[in-house]
Amino acid sequence: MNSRFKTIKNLFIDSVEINNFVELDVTKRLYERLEESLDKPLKMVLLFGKPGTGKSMMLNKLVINLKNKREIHYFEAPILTEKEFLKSIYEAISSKSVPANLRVNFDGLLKYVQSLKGKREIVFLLDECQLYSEVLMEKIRLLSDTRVIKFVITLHKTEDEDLIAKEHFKTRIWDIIELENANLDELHLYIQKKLMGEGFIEVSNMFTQKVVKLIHKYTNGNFRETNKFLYTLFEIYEFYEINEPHRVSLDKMSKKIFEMSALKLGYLK
Amino acid sequence: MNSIKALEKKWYQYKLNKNITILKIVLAVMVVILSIYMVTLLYWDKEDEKGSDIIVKNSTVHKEQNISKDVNVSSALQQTIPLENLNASTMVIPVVAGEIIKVEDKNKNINNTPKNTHTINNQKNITNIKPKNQSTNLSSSERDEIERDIPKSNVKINMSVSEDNFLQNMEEKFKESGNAKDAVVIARTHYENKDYAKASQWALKANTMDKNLDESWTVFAKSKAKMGQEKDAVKILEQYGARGRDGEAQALIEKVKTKTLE
Repeated sequence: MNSRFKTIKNLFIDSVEINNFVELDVTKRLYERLEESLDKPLKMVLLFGKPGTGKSMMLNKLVINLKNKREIHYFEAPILTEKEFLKSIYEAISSKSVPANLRVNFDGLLKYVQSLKGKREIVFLLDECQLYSEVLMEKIRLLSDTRVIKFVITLHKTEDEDLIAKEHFKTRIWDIIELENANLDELHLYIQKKLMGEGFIEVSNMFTQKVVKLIHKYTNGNFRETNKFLYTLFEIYEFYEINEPHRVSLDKMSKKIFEMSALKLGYLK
Repeated sequence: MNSIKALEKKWYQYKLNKNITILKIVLAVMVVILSIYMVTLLYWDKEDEKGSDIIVKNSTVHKEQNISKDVNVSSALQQTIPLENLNASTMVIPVVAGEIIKVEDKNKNINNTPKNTHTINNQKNITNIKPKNQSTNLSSSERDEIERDIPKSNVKINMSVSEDNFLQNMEEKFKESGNAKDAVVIARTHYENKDYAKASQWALKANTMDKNLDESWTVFAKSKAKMGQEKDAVKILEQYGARGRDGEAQALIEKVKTKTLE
């Protein structure tokens, strides 16, 4: 038996696919700011925030929207070895493959990039930069100094933020864009848009201000945590709809199912 | 299913624990209230006893001073309490004639007022405590912080200049690399810009270099269709379909025929 909640729960699978992007005022504003910053004569743009605030999603959207307007390359997963990193940069710029037994010389790469000055503008999006070593970040800084390559880097927000504070980055960062967790109203809108966008209006009406307030209390407005919570919630709804349909009503949120989700994820003990 | 059932069990346990906690709190509150009540009751009872003692003592000895301790009551009653001094507030204790009651000398205990009455004058007048004068205006540093956070107004950028640059850049890149994928990017960009003639040229170039590039087929066919050459477009798509891409090819052929291409 098919349950509608199976479809609903899949809406909240945590992924960076562009279909999952929900436009809120704040995310729209930040995205526009990110796009504008690429038009400025800059070297680096820093996108930072706590995990689950939508940094990777923002980069993905940038690639999709700009791939026909700019030369833009997206490294989703961090490349941790210098050899592989330089190879990837070179292959992306030159569209040529580097044989396995050869490695890219950094000075050579730098000269090659400098030779493109005035001819090309290349944008590299580097996700999860907190995993790159300091040596690699230095090389990124030097490449950005050529003014041929622009880097958009994402970082997890940490307590000390010492990487941002370091002098050799301070002067190079043009724009710093911070992504934050959603406030109560934004979270409410996020959930409503997700559900109503797929036509689940009745289910959307179950999320009253009171219910959303509780969700916000548990997840602090973090999108990833919220997705996880709602996925769990609808997974349980799916089970009951198939096995005990008398327990499922769309008039209002089931307190029992809500609490079961919170218990499963450790928000209640 | 088992995991949901186990979770359900966990939920019942949670509800039970929650109810027990609530019950404990309610009981604790009731115990506290009861304790306060009992203490208050005891305190009042003691106060009543003291009060009645004083009244009795007053009524029996208020006329007489310096009476000796052991007094023959019957004779004392007859002698010391004039009838006009008895009123509703005084208590007359019936005594058996001849019973001796110890009587306190009123002069000794005349200042036996309870201790707490002394504190009334010493109590702090709490209405004299003035609330801290708090300003509701923002300080200059707070104002600066807010102004810093206000997002800058949207600046509209003319993207067409950078699009031209992009095509130039890509053509430069292709000259160097000779890579068919770059040619596809150029073709696609021309298609998006509705320059279908150039789009078809570049797509064909890419397709000649590498027949495995799907987009080189689709952009080529779509450009042809947009230029009104639907028959050519369909032929191209049929060839594309014969390369194991039948599904995609048929979908596009349908769009070409119904003129619903994007």
